[in-house]
Amino acid sequence: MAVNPAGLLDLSLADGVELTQLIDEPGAHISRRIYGNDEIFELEQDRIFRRAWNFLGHVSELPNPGDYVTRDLAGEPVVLIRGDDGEIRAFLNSCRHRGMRVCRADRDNVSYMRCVYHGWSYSRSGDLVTAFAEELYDPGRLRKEELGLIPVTQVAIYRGVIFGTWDAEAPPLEEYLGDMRFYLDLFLGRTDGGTEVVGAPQVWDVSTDWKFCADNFTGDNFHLYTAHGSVVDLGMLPPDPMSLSYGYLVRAQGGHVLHLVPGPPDPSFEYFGLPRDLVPQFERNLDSVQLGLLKDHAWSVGTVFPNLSFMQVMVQGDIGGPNVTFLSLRAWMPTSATTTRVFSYLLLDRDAPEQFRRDSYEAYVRTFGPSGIFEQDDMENWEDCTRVNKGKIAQRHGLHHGMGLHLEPDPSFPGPGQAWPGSYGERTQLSFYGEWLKWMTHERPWAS
Amino acid sequence: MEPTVPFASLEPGSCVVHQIGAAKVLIARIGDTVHATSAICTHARVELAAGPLAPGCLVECPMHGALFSPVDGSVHEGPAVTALKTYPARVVDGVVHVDVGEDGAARPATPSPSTPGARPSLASWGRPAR
Amino acid sequence: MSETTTAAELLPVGSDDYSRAALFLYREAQLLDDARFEDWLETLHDELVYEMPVRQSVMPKDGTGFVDGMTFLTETRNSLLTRVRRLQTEQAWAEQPGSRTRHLVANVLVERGAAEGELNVTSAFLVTRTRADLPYDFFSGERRDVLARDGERLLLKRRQILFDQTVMKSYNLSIFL
Ligand code: FES
Ligand code: FES
Ligand SMILES: [Fe+2]
Repeated sequence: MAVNPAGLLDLSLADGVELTQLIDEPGAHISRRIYGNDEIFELEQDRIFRRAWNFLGHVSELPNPGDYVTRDLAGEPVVLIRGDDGEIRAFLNSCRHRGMRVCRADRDNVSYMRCVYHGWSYSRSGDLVTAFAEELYDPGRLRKEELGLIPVTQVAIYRGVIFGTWDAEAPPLEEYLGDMRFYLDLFLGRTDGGTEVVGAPQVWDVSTDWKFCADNFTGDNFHLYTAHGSVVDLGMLPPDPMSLSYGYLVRAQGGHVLHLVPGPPDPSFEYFGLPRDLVPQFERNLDSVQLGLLKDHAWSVGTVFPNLSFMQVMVQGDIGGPNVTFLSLRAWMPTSATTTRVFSYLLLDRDAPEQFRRDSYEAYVRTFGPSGIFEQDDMENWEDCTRVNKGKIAQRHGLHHGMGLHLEPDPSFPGPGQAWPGSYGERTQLSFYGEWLKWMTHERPWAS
Repeated sequence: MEPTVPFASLEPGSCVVHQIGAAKVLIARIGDTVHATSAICTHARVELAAGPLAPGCLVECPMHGALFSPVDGSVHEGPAVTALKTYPARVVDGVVHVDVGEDGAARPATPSPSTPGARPSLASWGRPAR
Repeated sequence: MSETTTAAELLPVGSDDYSRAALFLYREAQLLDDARFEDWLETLHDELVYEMPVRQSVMPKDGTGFVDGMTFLTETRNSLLTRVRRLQTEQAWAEQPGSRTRHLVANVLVERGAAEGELNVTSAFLVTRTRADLPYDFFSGERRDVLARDGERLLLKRRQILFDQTVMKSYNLSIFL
């Protein structure tokens, strides 16, 4: 990447427009050109996804030595495997001989990672153990110690969630997450045993620019009464469109954002509606500020920049059914400028009681995922936004992101970062796009 | 008998590879007994790897996954068809001793496939699939 | 129907119960393709269990890859009723405008079920769906159904949808399979 003395990367796009013209965070305008655009997609892969810490998986997907799962990291196949020493490692899933994909199932348990082309085989920790007909190489030519699978440059785990980055200079994960850890702990670090994945992720393809998914999951709470009007009509959301406007929009750090929304004043909405049996664990694992936030809120949706979103929300899965909370992680993996592969997980606290597990699972599957009575309509919006914004006439006009800009951060909010009062607003979206621009234009985007 | 590795260094249910002269020897410990076989897979002649034994106290070839018994060298699962050669082994004064006989002596180079005039053997062609 | 069902246990094509089961499926396909969802609900048993497990791409030694504990659909009669009511709100944007579907059902096999009056029915399905000017989506797989006799009619008591895709290539499942 070419860099100028101010630490800025090359800013101009092929037609001479500068990247900095695309995002006007103070003016709350976003250019439509950032969506569905091949040139932007390539730049994002280069400047965001090959540099940032990306979601790879969850430790509970790999309980035993030799377990692997295959994933993508910045559009390239990687394999996560647990070694005999219990460590989880991640490698480019490509043989060092001709580049063949080595691990070819979604998941497996293997004693060796064996390439099916010419038989090179790698240990569970990625070392090349044997090549075919080694005696036919000149002595010293086949340096097996240099031919292990290419490791993902940095891999780290936060509260059971596995992240990786291709950038050796990326700061440690904990620093990258920064103050977002405080909020992630409300969901991932509140119980003694932490969380585990239920089953496996739902995976599906959506014809959308990934940014619409992330944008929506920065905590867009005001789309509920329109996009999800059907659910309101069914009486599964409170009828007053301002009912969910309370709470906060939070910019924890950089592009890591979320909302925190209180439920109605009823004890069943405290602690996000989580099982009361777990409260003593919350008290043990969270500090008093975190505990207060957990107690006072019922819904939270947020995004870890760039493309890992989470939601802990109380919903009814069907008419007359219980109002149950579920925790989902979703990674929006861009596969092209106009397509995104969604990995959506249901997580449960390991110590959650049996009935709650069942209820939470049903509520999740019925409301989110490709058949979800909420998410179906989200994708309807994201797909059409992506299609329409590609138009050259459309692109002459920016998109409006100005809700709630007159509000100042609430100094009495007890958590880290900035918190704007009210959960209807576009501060978190603007924070996300501001961060996007920083990564697209700065040599060292993580330095503040 | 040649001394090899200290018995105490061998975890039960694991194996190591040790070189005795020209011979590569796989030494496995099962319970309190030691067994020695050739460490060269009879399939594509790759070296078997040290480490824990596979389930059933078997040695698994890293390359195509043939499973051998370290006790008698027999093949439990293909693609190898020929058993590993076994060597006498016993523990003397806490050290595993193995007798590789002739195999330890530097051998005349076996013809490699790239030796001019070498021809494939047809002996095992057409064998029934295992 | 299980892997152990023998050919002899399958009801002959054209036998009374076979015909009734096949007719149920064809009629159901018509109701769904004609968007007569209220009428479709009438064919569902009160104790219906209706599931579509998530599938992964696995090696044959690990079986078919259906995931234990995660689904794309986990439904009861009431949750399907919820979906139908949702479509009637006129704000279910994923179906406004609506999908045009074609449910093709074939390879119908029928055996007697575990309980009196129940039939185990497996069939292959191919569902095509198009919306607006969008290209076709294809959904294919196997249905494993239990049909229960209720007076003169049959009701759907259990449906397992064994989907052929691991990554769903369709952006939503706003239709019924
Ligand atoms: S490509 Fe893997 S062994 Fe040749
Ligand atoms: S080389 Fe050992 S199994 Fe093929
Ligand atoms: Fe939504």
